[in-house]
Amino acid sequence: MSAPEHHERPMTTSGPSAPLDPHRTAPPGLVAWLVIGAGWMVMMIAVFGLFNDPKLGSPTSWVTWILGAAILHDAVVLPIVVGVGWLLGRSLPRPWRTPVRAALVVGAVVSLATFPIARRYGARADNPSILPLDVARNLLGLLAVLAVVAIAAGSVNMVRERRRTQRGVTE
Amino acid sequence: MDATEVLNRVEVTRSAAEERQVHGARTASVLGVALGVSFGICFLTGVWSHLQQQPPGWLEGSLPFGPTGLYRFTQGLHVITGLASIPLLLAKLYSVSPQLLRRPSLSDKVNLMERAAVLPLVGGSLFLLATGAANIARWYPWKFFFPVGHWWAAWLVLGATMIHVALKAPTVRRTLGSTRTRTEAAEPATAPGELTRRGLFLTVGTAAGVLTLFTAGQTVPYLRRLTLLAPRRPDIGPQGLPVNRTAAAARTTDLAGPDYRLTVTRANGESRSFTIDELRALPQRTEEIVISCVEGWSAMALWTGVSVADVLRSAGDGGTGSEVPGIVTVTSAQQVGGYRSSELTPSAIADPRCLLALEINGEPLAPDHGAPLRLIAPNRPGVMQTKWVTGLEFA
Repeated sequence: MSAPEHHERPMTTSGPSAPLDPHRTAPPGLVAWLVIGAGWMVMMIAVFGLFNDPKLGSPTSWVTWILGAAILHDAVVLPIVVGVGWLLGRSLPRPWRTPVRAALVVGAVVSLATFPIARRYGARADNPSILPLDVARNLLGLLAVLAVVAIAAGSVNMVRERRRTQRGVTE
Repeated sequence: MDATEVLNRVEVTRSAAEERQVHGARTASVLGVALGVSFGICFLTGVWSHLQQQPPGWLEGSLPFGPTGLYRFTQGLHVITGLASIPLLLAKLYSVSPQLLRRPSLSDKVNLMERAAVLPLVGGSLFLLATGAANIARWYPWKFFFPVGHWWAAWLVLGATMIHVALKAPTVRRTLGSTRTRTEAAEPATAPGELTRRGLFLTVGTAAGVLTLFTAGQTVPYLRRLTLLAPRRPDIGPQGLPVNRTAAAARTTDLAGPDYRLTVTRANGESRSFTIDELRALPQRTEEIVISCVEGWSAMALWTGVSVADVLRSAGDGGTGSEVPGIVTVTSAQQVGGYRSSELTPSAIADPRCLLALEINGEPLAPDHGAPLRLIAPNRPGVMQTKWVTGLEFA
């Protein structure tokens, strides 16, 4: 198969005249190099400070969680998000795609941010003032509201599209 | 199908995705700037909180005391902004996801260096938001001490961000600058039903808005009724106020007995003890002071007790000729756990609202609130409002 034209992009970016690849980074200037050097120094100070902090506990656990977060996101979360989005694009009728995707994204992100609260992992028998609310119930209520909003928006889109096609037929 | 063909197909799909609005440079720039602001707020408020709790030697005693509710504001902002950053960061990573599969060019050394710095940037940013979200829920599924791990990760992300911003500033300027300097090609069209850039921003904004609206009530009084997803509610707890460590956990349940004494110890070792009745005989003050937790909740209460300055004055100057010679350490009877003592700077002691409280909202302190005597002072992290106070020690 023949490669599409935009694969033949040059690897270097030209100056102010429209660069072909908007994602490719331009070569840094002097000020940028100074900031880059300072950035690497701050990172080295962070790692040095961490390994020399007597109160840290386990540095291995810290490194595992930093690398693990990046790997978990790039290798698990991202493929799931892209895969589900692609499946919805193929399986849903056009008027439903945006409302369903948007509601799923909002619901998933809010659930992800609050699941430690909803599951009450940190609850303590001696202290009822910690995690006192039924966040799991409230979260389910919120997801139900999102579902209703998505169904309403999808229905409106569907009716609109049907009218548009009918008008197209009569003309 | 051989490996080369698989790689070619991946590249075709990847560059097709890159053409979509949601994966465009303009989308990434807008989300990048938004994250820069939100992470900047989190960094500054976080450093402020750290300095309050562990001031370095050269700064000790010279930190500004500030208005009463300053710490409530900065730490509430830290947690609110951190939660709202979760949808922002995930959207940003999604917008640049086609770049993840871009084949690295070994001859482009700048690009290799950029990619090396992206790993701590992405891992560190996800780490900060994940550990923060778990900490406010008091869930610690790791083996490091949270404040220390969170602190150094913030510096790691700061360094990685500096590199990222230095390299990406021209892209942001090009895509978000005035139309005269903007040289980008025309907007790519979106297929019907496909998420547009505006659609993505609306979705991200909704997620951030929902998170803020339903959690911020743990510190913002006007949103109290909407506190549906927060880990705390400021009116739930003993005597209508949340606590972090109970008397049972600290093993101080029986402290408020007839044997209780507050001991003021001078640097030269001389000491003076007070009974509860002696403390009650000193001038009593009632102050409205907010208790603000590092985990982002805060609660207002009316505290009655004696000012630290009055106690020190009453204990005498021990022949030193000066009433408040420097930093005073407040010690607790607490047997277990961290934060068993805290330090008062001369400027904190000079404030008459810096109290050793005996009562809350007109009732004697409950054991969980530090009975019989606790420290309560304006603009101070909750962990430094030492409970079950038994001693004041001069450095």
